[in-house]
Amino acid sequence: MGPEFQQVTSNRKKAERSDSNAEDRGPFRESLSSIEPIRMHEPLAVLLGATNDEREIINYTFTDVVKMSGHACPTVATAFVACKHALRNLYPEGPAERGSIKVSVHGEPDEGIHGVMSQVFSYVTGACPETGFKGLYGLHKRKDLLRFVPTEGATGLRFDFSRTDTKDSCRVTINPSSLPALPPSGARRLDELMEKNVWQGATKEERIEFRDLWMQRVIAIAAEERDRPLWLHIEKK
Amino acid sequence: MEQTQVLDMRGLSHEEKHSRLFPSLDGLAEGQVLQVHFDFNPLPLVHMLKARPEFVVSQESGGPQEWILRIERPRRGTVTKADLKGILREMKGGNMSEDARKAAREVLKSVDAKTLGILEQELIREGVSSEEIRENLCEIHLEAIHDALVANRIDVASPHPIHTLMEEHKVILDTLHRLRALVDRIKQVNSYEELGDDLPVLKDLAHHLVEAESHHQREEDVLFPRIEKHDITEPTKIMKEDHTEFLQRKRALYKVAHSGTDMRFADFKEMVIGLGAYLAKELERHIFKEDNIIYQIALQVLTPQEWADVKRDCDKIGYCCFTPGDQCPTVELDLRPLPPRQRHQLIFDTWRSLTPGSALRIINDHDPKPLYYQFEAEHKGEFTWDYDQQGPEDWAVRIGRTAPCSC
Repeated sequence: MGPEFQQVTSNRKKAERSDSNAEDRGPFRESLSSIEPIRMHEPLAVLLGATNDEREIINYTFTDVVKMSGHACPTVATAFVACKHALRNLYPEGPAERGSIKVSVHGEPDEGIHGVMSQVFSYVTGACPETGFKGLYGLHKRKDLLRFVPTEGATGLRFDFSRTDTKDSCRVTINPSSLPALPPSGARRLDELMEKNVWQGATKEERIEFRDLWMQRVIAIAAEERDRPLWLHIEKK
Repeated sequence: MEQTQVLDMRGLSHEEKHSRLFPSLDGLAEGQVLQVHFDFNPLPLVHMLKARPEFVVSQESGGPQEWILRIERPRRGTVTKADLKGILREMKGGNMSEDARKAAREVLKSVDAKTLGILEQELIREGVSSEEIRENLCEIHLEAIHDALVANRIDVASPHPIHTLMEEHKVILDTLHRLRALVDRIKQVNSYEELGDDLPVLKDLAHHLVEAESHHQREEDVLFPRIEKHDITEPTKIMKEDHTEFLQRKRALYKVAHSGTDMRFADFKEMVIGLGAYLAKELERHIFKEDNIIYQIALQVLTPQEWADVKRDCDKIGYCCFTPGDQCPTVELDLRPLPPRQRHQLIFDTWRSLTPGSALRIINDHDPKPLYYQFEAEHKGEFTWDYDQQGPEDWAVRIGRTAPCSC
């Protein structure tokens, strides 16, 4: 084996090690990937053999939700936290059962942030709108478990989560104006940087500054759950 | 020789009017005139007939006892594919004489939009490119029918969605005029130093152009689909293709404007001139087509319920450079009783407390122009400034807080 070949092999190994490290670390910020996941049991995956074990627990992480949404923002973060606490309320003993949860969104699908939030709820709980799985022999149906219902005059963000087995139900109310916010100077700076970044007119420093500012709120909501009682209220129905 | 038929609608029931008028219109031959007498103002019918290019409508008597409409189906000159090919051939070299252009306008003036559309479609099948037709034939056709379009335009009042879209067009046109002037100035300079204060001007114009994207979004997501439901699809398709072209160029112009002085000045100059001249010319033409063709078609075909839906959906998306009055929460501040030294601080404190998308309306006993310059210095791009009243004793100004993107 000549020295040139050895050099190439050694470089390739180095590159492979480096790729493997990058994969371990993942593409996401540590502060997002370390957020406690939502633990779910998925009977359909068990039935059709996708899991190793019958009681296998599947973690739905915040970064999974980021992958599904294509981004992380205060809305995605709020939906993840709201979903986590609603499921804890319905399943205090352990992992929630995916596919056995109904979600009612109070309002229209295209209203405000309902679309983004309902997609997160759908992804985690398995509750689907009319496009969902129709079921096997009448079981494991996901279709129509996610519905948009009239607001009945109420304002703000309201969602009902219910178990299809026990009929237990809880109401989630979110007060967006109490969500963790940037200080006024930071909010102004974020607005300034938003346009420049979206339209590709930002410098490298401005791109980094924008991302860090944007992530501050996401982390405060999703990772720290800062001031949660002020913006998230869950009551048993 | 012109033949005139008379139809008297006075005293007839709605059903009787309907059953007599429309068969008479359909049966009207080329060169014939229908004179219709009404005992009410037939304005909706006038608008409806103006949407049908085969008729020429005029009012011979305008009430108050009797209204008489003269509806003519004029003889059309027979335009052939050969005529259109001839025009395209003349235009191909790019140096069409004014006489030839005038002759082409006359040919195209005599053809209705539907016939022209069919002939264009046949030319495309024979191998003429749709770009050539769009760029040459459409341009000269628009010149030919320009005056008639403007004269027949239906205007609507605020807060109708078309009023908002047309007001936004006025603001965008103002930006384009400033862009055109800037391009002319840039042609005269050869370094960033010579460009001086025009670089921030370019950034400001680029900002206004990209900010107007929500205007296109409302058209594409809300208005156009409803027009298309009435089987009118080609004009909206062309408008959407235009939007894509503009989006790419706006982004490129924004990028160049914010490139600092990293780029070689000659490259910077070439790009700004190319992009700026294109946008100033083509976006202006596009706006003319929307104001005078697309929006007019929409006004003719959409039902009141559809307009209510359009308004609701537009409100959801939000507005850019012009916000309809009913969508702009306003805080009013009467400064007249206050000592002058307290006024500026109060104005800024109140304005800064506003949520984006709302406005502060101040009433003052003199023109608050210096305040405008303070806003310009401290909050450039974040505010709008519109006088509601300009003297002689009091001045009222609406200072809007522009809405940034929110997620």
